[in-house]
Amino acid sequence: MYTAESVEQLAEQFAQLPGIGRKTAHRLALYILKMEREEVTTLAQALVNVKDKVRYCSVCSNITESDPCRICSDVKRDQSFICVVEEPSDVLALEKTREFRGLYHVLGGALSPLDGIGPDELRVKELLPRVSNGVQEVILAMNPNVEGEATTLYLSKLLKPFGVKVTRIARGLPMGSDLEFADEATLSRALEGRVAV
Amino acid sequence: MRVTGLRLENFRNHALTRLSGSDSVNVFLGDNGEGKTNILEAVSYLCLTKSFYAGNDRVAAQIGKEYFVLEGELRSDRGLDFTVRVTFDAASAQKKFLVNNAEVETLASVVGRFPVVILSPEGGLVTTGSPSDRRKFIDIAISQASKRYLDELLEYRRVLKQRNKILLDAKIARHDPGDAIEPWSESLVDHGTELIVKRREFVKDFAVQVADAFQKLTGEQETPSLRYLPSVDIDDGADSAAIASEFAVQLTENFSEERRTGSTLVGPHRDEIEFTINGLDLRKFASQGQHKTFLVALKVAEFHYLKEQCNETPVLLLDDVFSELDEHRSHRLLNMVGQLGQTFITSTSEQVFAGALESNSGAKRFFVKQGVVTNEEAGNFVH
Repeated sequence: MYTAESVEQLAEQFAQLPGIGRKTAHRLALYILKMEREEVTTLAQALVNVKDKVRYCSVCSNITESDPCRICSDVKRDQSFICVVEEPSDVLALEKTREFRGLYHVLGGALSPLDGIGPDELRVKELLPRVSNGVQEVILAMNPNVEGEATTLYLSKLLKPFGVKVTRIARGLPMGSDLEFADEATLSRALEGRVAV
Repeated sequence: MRVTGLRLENFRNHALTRLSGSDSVNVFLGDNGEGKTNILEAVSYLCLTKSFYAGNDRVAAQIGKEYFVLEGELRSDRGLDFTVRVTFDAASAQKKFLVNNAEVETLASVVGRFPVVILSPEGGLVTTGSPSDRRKFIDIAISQASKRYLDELLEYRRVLKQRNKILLDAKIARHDPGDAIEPWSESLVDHGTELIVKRREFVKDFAVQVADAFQKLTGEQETPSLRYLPSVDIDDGADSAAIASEFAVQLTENFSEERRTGSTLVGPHRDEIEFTINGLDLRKFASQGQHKTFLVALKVAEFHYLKEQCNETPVLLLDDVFSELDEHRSHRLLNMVGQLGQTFITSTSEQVFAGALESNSGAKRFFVKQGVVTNEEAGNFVH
């Protein structure tokens, strides 16, 4: 290779990131070479900060810089609802709706034996003491796939003895789309889950 | 649906072939390796986006050529015309599928739009092969009519894989999987029950169609039957709830055995569909000719099923079907397909058509030699 070793090393690092191929990795490395030193320092610091400052909330297991996280320590939020999700990104998505004013619990994934994820790999046991603490309803908001479904089944059975109301989010049609463009599977599930008006 | 025009460029041994088919029976005659089946394969590409026997698009291009182009003029039952084009470029390994010059979003979206039923020697495994070959046959048939079934099937397979992983891990580590397996068992029952209900319903309707086709082929000498034998032992009239609870019970009963083998032992993945003639198991007692007759009857039944489900008459492709059929059954088959819809047939011998197609004024025959097709107008099927 007729290039500097450092550039190669950096490209090598980029190539390990998801969605980045060899060519893109090289382009990024050369771009960084052209950047001002100050900008590069800021970028490097941002990378290290993510590792150093971010941790998991001791209550809900969401990612946070202050423990407990901003949602868990917000007194205005309704403490009697807990919405269980798979990943921190799901919390972000639900928060954008501004509809849900309760608390969250982030499992850190879904049950998937093929990937070596069983109940012990998820933050399940952290959920149980929270539920026994005056909670009215636990909403299970897993992804609508096989793994999410098994996780929902597992949790609903586990939570039964607590006498708390357990619900799951509805499956159906996306808003703003036309019925005619919906795929058959979604449409037939939406028919199944119809409600009285 | 009918194929009114067909154009093959650099496809297999066809450098450039154009032909206009008859709405009725089209017969392609020629010796082995002259390129008869390639024409049927081209129709398969235009309807299903792929070959019915080759898994690889690259081998379909003429040797030494970098691309192939197939074009078909298709007319729906309601009289709408479609120009369908399939292009394959070997350098980029890219296949494109265009309907009326617009590229389709996904190849999968084409399936079911231009229905086709294919009877080829490769399809013979349905009657001679293992239970998995028969499950595959009914899964494909039901999936073409119901995307929901396909969805359930794929999800069931995924759940099965996950559950088997738990059982296998527990076997290797010699520990009790405990309650980790429970959600997967429950999920397996949920999805599996839907499959059982759909398969039972399908086989029941389908058996009537098969018996009807079989009778027309043989002239009521023999009685065929199809029976769904689910791996979960259920009563005939059991409803979804009863099937689900029975499934769950049998999973529990087999659990210690499952732990020993490290895999799931009950469920639709172990279903069997039994084919019989006069009450005798086809696999054990039938002759080559009976196998072939049963296969033809299955395909004719599939034709009727697809026609009803898709609201469109399928095109029928018969590749080398007469080799094991006697003259009597061959003639009956030819008469039958003449009334069904548009049919493409390959044969090495003209003899089988003697006396069978004279009454069919729409029939056309083509001679295929080294990738060149010449056609002769119908009506002269006298041997």
